[in-house]
Amino acid sequence: MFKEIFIQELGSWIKKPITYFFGVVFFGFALLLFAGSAGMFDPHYRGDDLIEHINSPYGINSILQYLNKLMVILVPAVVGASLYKDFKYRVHSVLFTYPINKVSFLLARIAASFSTVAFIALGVLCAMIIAAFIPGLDPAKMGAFDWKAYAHTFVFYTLPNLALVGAIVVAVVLHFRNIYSAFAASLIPFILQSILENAFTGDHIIIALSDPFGQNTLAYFTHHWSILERNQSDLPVGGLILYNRVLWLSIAGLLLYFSVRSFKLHEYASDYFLIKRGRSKRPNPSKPSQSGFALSHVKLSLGRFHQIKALWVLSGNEFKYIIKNPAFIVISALAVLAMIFAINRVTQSGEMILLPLTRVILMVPTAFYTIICMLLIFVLSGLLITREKTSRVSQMMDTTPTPFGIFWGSKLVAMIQVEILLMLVFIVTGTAMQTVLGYYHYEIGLYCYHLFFFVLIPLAIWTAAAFIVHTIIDNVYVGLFVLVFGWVGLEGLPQIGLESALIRFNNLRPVTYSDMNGYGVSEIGFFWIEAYWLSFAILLTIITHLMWRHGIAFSIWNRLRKSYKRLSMTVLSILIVTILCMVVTGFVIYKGEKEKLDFSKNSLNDSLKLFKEKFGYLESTPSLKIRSLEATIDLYPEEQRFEASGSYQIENPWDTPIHLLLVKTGFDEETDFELDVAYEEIDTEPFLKFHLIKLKKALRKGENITMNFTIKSIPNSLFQRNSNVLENGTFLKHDIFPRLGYRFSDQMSLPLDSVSRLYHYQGIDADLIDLSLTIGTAAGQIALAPGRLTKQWREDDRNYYVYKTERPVKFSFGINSGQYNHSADTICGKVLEVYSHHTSNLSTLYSSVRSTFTFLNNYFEAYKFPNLRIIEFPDSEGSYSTAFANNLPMSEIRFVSNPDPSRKKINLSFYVPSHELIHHWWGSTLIPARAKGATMLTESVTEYLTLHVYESYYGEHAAEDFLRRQHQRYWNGHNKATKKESPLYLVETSQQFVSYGKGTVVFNGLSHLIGKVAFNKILAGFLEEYQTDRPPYPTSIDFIDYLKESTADSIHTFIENQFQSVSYFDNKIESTALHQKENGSFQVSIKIRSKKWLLDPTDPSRQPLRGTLNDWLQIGCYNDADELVSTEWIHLDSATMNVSIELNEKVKKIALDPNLLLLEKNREDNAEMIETY
Amino acid sequence: MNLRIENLTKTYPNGVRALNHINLEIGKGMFGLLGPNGAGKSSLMRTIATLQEPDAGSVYFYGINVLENPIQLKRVLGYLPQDFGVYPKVSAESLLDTFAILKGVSSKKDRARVVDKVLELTNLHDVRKKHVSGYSGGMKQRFGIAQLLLNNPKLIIVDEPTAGLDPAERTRFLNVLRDVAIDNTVLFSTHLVDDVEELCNDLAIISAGRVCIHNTPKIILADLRNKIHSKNIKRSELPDYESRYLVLSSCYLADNTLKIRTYSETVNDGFKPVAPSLEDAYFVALKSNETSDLSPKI
Repeated sequence: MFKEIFIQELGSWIKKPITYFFGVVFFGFALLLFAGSAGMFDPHYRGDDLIEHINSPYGINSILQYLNKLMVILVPAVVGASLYKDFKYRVHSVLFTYPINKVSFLLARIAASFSTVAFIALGVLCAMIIAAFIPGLDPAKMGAFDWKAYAHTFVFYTLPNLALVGAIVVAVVLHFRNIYSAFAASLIPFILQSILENAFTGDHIIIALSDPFGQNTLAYFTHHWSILERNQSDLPVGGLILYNRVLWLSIAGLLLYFSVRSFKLHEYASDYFLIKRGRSKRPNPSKPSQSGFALSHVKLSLGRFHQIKALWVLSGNEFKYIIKNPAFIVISALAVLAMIFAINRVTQSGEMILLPLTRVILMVPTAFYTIICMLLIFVLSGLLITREKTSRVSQMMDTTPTPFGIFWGSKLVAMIQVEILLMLVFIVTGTAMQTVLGYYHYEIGLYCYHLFFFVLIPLAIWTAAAFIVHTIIDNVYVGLFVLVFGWVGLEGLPQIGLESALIRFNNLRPVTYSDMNGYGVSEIGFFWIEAYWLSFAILLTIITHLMWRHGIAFSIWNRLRKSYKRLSMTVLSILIVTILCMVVTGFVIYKGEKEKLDFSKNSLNDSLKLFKEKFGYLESTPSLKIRSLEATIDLYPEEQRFEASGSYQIENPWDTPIHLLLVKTGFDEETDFELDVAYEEIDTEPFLKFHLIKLKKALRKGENITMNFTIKSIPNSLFQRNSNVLENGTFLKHDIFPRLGYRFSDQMSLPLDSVSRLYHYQGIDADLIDLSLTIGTAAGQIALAPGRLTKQWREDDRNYYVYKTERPVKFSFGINSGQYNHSADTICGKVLEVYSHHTSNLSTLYSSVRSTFTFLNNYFEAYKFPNLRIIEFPDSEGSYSTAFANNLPMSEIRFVSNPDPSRKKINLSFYVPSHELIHHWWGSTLIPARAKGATMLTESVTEYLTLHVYESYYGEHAAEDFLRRQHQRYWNGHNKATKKESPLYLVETSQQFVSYGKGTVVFNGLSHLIGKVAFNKILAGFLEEYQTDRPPYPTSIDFIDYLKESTADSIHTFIENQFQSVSYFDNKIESTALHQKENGSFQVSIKIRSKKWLLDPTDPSRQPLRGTLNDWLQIGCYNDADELVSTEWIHLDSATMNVSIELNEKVKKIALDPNLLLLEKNREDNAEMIETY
Repeated sequence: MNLRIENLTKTYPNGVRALNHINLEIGKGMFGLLGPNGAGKSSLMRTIATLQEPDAGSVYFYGINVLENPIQLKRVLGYLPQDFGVYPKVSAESLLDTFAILKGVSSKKDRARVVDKVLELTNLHDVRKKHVSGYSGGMKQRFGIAQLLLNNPKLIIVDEPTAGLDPAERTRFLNVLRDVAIDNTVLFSTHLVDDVEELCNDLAIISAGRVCIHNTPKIILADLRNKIHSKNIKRSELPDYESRYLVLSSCYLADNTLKIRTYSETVNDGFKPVAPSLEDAYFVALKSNETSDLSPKI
């Protein structure tokens, strides 16, 4: 029987046009996706960087896994439909009386329909194979063709994942006999994946094991792969991957087994799950009918009021129908669970945790929650629209005098009610989480505003789209397919160059919210786009009205004729008004987009090319230097604008007379300037705003000129914020002022280049300058700038402040203005002031500054300014922090860390101010030259010292976590690096994974090798010797030389290996043994296998080479309580070494590099329990 | 006349001509629409109930141009389709409340009253809280009647409502209909001649989209008087008789002989005249529609 049913079912799928529709769409999509990813539609790459191959096993897996997720929709549409059709067409009551074997019948149906899905999936695979041979792909993105790579993902991921969803769909259809529930239930693995990722953050093995799609399982093995490895390696098969696949296939198998077992060939579904069925009690046949039709007079009304009432009552019924739907309940509950775990991760269990602020709650889970809501809308809209037809009440409904508009209207209102309910659930969950987490500052207004404008309206627009699709397309499977593919396709529009908001349907991404400054001006543009798409949604709704199925139509012409008849004057008027709204909002958006400057990569590259063609000859011309700046800045926060005027004193410090001056004015400002000597402007570059000035009389060494300037901010346009003046939390930087010199050099010079020492790393037009700023701002706001506040007054209802620096500072400063909470304290003789909006992290900030002063005062001379200001600026301006002389502007996000009592998380409110404050010494006192390796002297040293400050406050374990994250930071960057990786002493500014991550590890390693105090003293000595406020500035070579001079020869190999080459290790304990000697002491024998890998710094595409071992390795011994009781350095000089360590106590575990001093890719085999003999 | 159907024509996209220039005038009381399966009964009823549009023709009810003003007709219409379902997990009371509001009963109090009343009339009051999806066939049909009564309709269209009902339920059901029909027009389609015979004061027999007969049952029967004959024959003789006479029906007897009924003006060959029934009229009409040469005049 199985065979016959299987063949018959498979045959029916082969004959159905829908099979080919699904197949062709997926085939085409996969073909385009692969060809697009392989660079078919883009200019081919011509550089030397390492490019990831699209057709490597890893690349194929990435693309196919994405397609696998899309193919999930096929499962309910084919497997679900195959089982549901008997119930849909009510054949089951006859069919189930036939002498069929239940198991054979169901399995044959399932197998045949699943085979259909598998064939379509195979088509996708073929599309990807064919695409690899299309001419015109970018050769840089293509490796050698390997069919096994395709087969691997298909067998290990595509088929098992579809099988898992298939089992869920089978279970739901067989139990509920409802296809919509099956569509909704196919979302379960997605939500489950999100829940598991958030619930087990940090526990990579559990995440890997439990991922329903196996993506995290593969990532567990491949996350540390470099691009080279991704291009060349085969995907792993065994271990966790096998367990994960077996686990989920077993779950799928069990689900299938129980679904089939519990299914009965009965007229009605069984009652065993969740919902008690109303039909359980059959009413008794009633008494004979009463005779005499005497229905008393009924008042009938069909006026507007009644229609509204009818709409409301009906929508209430529809609403109740949805919220009682088990699929809706389960999916919503899972979405809430996903939200809870996401909030928990961000506030409790993640790597860096935040306070459960409302804006955090709104930011973190909204995107996922919204997508789930949207997919639910796609399904539920179909459910509601076809409800009458499915229940076969439509004929009775359609002969009532209620206009059909009430029918679709009530369904639309019900959907919006459901969406409001989902938003309320979000608010309740969010506030409940806040309460549980001890945060009682409830911002219901913010919740409502955000969810209404940024989530609900976009969802309502999607609802209109879902309504029209389900109204026009009678087939629910095709309808859902069109909606999902429409959504996915819209995401891809920018890739084919369609970026206008006028084309990207409902592309409404929430604007960043700041507690300081709200949504800022960006929300105005958002609302225009929202109004445009809302008008479009109304247009869609009108079409839905015209096309709504009411009565019986037998052909599309019949429907169209009906639609035409429905085009009444009222409908036509609404249609015209809606189109007018679209035209008006569309025009405003079009104008706004036109006004937007084109910052695309191509446009910037073109401008840069033009600039270099014009001014390239000036690249090696020395620049004049600014010696002082005096300026007055008037901020108008309520109007988001500023005006400034001021002057520079400019000097020629060079021996050669200079008569050409390249001036760059602020990008977002209108600037006028003039010099106090005769000059002419001989050329300009208007996009980048460069002006080439020729002085009538060349400026000789030591001569000064004055530049006077006035600056005005450019008004904000609809989609572009030109002015950094905000209503609250303005943060203007030095880039508003004119700057001098050729500012777009391709490369930093090498440290040995003599020119490099003539400029410091942050400026070619200034060494240190005297700064005097007068700032006016709105009443109620405080304005802040580096230096000492020398004067303050109020005039014309505005506040004025004068700041002057007592000592020269770098030309890097910020001007802040806002309504701040102000607090101050004296720490180590210096006044710390905090100007902030948030006050919850103040004590951490104070502790950070106190610990930093205390630690650094041990080694370095005291902080040079009398005061230090920490200033909060809104998140919309960035999430970074920086040091500007005695001011440390820090992003809002750094003021809302969640203090972790277990101290296992990095407290950014402690770490960041400490790091920035240390830049006072390393960055502002020791100012490196403008050469490669500069950030080693600023960021690496600073990060290393921050580690010690962190340790001094939080203890060793927290410091170890801090260090572990620096290792991670390095490996993450290393794995993703497309350019050659520089050794630390030549690190480039963009290579933060080297300067921060590797820098901390290497500096810390050296400090362990020679002793922390001794090493810190070397740092202090270098700072003392090389601090300067004028050229020549020190380079990384100076530091390496100084290090070598200050340390024993035996340490030099460490310095050369770690600072001057790109190397990492692979150490492994082969065996251990413990032996008690006669004198009672213990001897541990360890066999170590070591490999050292060296990267070729000139060719990133080459595999790492084996390096000669000549390195130091620390070995740690742990007691029964897993405490590190002894460490010993050994010198590695061969690949296999036998080491013996004498100990006074018995130890249980041996670990290589227990203090994380070396860079090592795989640390899992570094520790071993000791075998005793 | 209350309901006037003029020249109604409908051809489906698959080429089937469901209605072929139908003309009918129907007054108060029960109007029976008889016809075999696929005769066009449902198409005609759906068209009158505004569920589908004809290709040509018009329908008037008390002066309402039904095709032009469907809403006006729907205010006084009660319709029960041949095959209908109900929302799952919804009680009769609640579903009737929904229908009541759709039919324009605005006040909640009125709705409660009218729902209560129709439940009593259809004898579903005791089971009003139960889900309709759990009702037996007869109860579900009565629920169908209940919903159509909600707006106190003047025109009631019921499409083959007694199919599948047991005799007791059928009687109950027809009683309710008869009550309703006293002051209203009830258009009642069936292929069960007995239903019409018992109830209708007017009837039409349609076949292949055309009206074959339209008259009162009395006149139809009177016209057939002395034209229906019966005879018991052997099974094997049937083809011979069929070739010679207009055999309307045949049924087996206990002794395995066949009792045939024929239509003819004269008596001969051992036939005995019998009293005509509506079933005879039905078959005469159908046969006459099939073979134009016989063309019995009724």
